[in-house]
This record gives sequence, C-alpha cells and structure tokens, in this order.
Amino acid sequence: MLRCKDFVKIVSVEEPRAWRRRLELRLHMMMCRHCRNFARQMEMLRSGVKSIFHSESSDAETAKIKEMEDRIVDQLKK
Amino acid sequence: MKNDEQELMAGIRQKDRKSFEAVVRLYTTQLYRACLGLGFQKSEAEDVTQSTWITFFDVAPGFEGRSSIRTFLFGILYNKASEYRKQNKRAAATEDIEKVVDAHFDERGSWLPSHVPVSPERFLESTQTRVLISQCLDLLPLKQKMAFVLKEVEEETSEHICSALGITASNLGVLLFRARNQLRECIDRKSR
Repeated sequence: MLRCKDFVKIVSVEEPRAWRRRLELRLHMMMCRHCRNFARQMEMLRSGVKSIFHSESSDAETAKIKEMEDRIVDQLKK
Repeated sequence: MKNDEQELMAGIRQKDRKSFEAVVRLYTTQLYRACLGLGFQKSEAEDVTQSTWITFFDVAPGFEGRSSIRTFLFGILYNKASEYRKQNKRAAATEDIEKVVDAHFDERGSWLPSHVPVSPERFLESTQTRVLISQCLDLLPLKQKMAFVLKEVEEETSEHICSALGITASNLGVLLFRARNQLRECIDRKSR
C-alpha cells in the first residue's frame, strides 16, 4: 500500500512509470482527498507559472523590448 | 520549424548578420521575460539579456547544434544570471525542503492534520495572483528556478536542460523536486 508520503515523493518527480505504479497512484488518489489536492496543486502551480511567463506584454514592455533588440542589432553592425 | 532553425544556425556559423538579427528578434522577449521570472528587476533583466547576447555572438559560430538555439541561449543566460547574482549577493532563503516535506507526515506516512494541502479552490486563487507566485519563485535558488522555468514554462526536454545547465539527469530530478515542493509549500502557506 502506498503511503501519502510516498505518493508525494513519486508525484514530485517525473519519471516514466510502470503501469503498476500508475495504478497505485490512481488508487491512492481515489481514496485520499489530501493527496488528490496535492496533485491538483502541483498541476495548478505549473499552469499558474506558465501564465505569468506567457502573459501578454503591455505596450510599454513591448516597446522597451523592441528598443533593446534594436540596440543589440546595432551593436552587431559595429 | 526545425528547418528554419537549421538554416539560422548555418547562417550564424558563417557569421551572417541577417541570421544574427533574426535570432535576436526571435528570442529577446523570451530571454527578458525569463530574467524577470528569475527575479531580476527590469534594469537588471536588461543587463543580463544583453550580456547573454554578447556571449552568444562570441561563441555561437562554434556551436555544434546538439541542443536547440533556445536551450543554448538559456544555458548562457543561466551563467550570466549566476555571475550577476554573485556580484550582487542577495541570499535566497534556503530551507531544506526534503526535511520540510518529511515533516508533513506522521510516523505512518499519512498527512498531519496541520499540514494537509489547502483545497484547490483556495490554491487557485493564489496561483492567479502574479505577485504571490513571483514572490515565491524569488525564494528559490537560481539553479532550481532555472531548471523549473525551463521544464515547466519553456517545456524543454530533460536532455536539453541538462546540457544547458551542465548537470546530470539525477541532479535535474533533485532540482525539480525541490523547486516544485518549495513553490507549492510557499503558496500553500500563503493561502491559509
């Protein structure tokens, strides 16, 4: 039987998992609300961080980046 | 996409100015954003992005193309960022996350009531708060942060990340374990 502690450690690393392992994880999640929450949190973290990085730039930021690009390209010409 | 990249790389090896310009236009935004994500202030992020390019132009003609241009750039970025951090020492809070994680469970390996993860609804509210995530990310040591960003945000393969950061697969596993748990921990605490 998988313990919560084991569940957390397995879910925190991603390695290819044998079907047996996957089944154990699934079963554990069905029975344990806390670990279900844990797994869900990990997913949310991923998408939350992603949305920060890929969010639309403000016009000011886009302009600033463009300026930086121009400066770098200019340096190349020298 | 792959062919474009190969063409670009060929151009860069021949020091073709147009190819250099094309990569600058393609990746500057990503690099700058990554710097912000790594916790640099805007002006610092600009410095680090620029010095990443300068090094890229120096070394790129010898680049063999074993990783993608992007991974290669992020590898340089990581080195620049750590140099920058060393010069402007700002210690990240280091807690031994393995111990912290272990302390959440009782002797039978079940969650202690005081440490059960908060509900997804509560957690979600926090993950949608940019400031909070940035604050938590900022607490991670640079290498962890970099590994995490490359993996989860840039969705690079583990192989590419290892070559960019010069680490082994098992190092990467440890870094990711720590980064994920550290972040989860930080946000969970702030959601209570």
